[in-house]
Amino acid sequence: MRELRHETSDPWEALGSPDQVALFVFRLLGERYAVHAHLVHEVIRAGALTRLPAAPAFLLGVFNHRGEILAVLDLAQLLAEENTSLAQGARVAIVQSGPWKLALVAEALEGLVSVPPTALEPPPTSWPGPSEFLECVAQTKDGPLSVLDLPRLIEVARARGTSA
Amino acid sequence: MIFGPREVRANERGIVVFDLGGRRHAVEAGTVERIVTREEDGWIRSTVLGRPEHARRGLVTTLDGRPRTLAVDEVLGVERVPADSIAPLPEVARLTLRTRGIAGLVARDDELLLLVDLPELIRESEEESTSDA
Repeated sequence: MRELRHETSDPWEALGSPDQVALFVFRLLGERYAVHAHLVHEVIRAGALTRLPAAPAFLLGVFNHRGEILAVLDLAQLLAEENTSLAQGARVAIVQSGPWKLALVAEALEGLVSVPPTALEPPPTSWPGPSEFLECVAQTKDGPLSVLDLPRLIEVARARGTSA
Repeated sequence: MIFGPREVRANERGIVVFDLGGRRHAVEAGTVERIVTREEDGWIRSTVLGRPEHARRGLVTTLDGRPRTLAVDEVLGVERVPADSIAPLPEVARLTLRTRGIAGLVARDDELLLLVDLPELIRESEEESTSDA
């Protein structure tokens, strides 16, 4: 990962610590977002993308990762119907949420940050994005971090695709 | 059929690889009755895969007891591939694609080919033609 931010000690240790919440941070729509780090399997450079016909805009395509075929989701499309370009070799985060294993693309993947549970606050009522996807806001030394509800996001993506 | 039942081993699948609109795709050989070269009226030219640029070949399948032909630009080969090189679509894709014409994917060399469900692709195209009419 390009950058590892330390709010407390080692963010990797926070993955197993009840005193810390580990978040995986990325940049999207010019803002900083995060998902819970335990949902992120790895960050890799995406292989050649195979685009799918009749796919919803948020489904960029599929690629072969060590023999496993993964779908690539564009978070910016889901949140604000804006496109994120995915260049050959761009990094994607492989996440697992329940039965869903897929790759997420964002403008930039920053890395892990760990915060104490007290740094997590309920979503503000004035949040400009679609609040249905916002789980909480983490206060960090670099400013507030919008923590996305990834399972909800994937579920809504699935529902949007089937209802379109 | 392109392959007879004894010509493909249990751990292999037969596929026809073709070019359509500048992209390579595959179809299960067992669903292709024959490959034809004479361009005819009635070929299916518009599907979710797009339209052929040259329509030099036709893949004939049987749908509801009648032959139907998908126009493609070129047939690139008829191959046996390991059965485990064919995978279903990832669940998110399977649930959100607005087509029934893609059955899965074929990992071949360094590329992933769409595995086309030929009868469903044609059925879908004909349904859309009917609803547009």
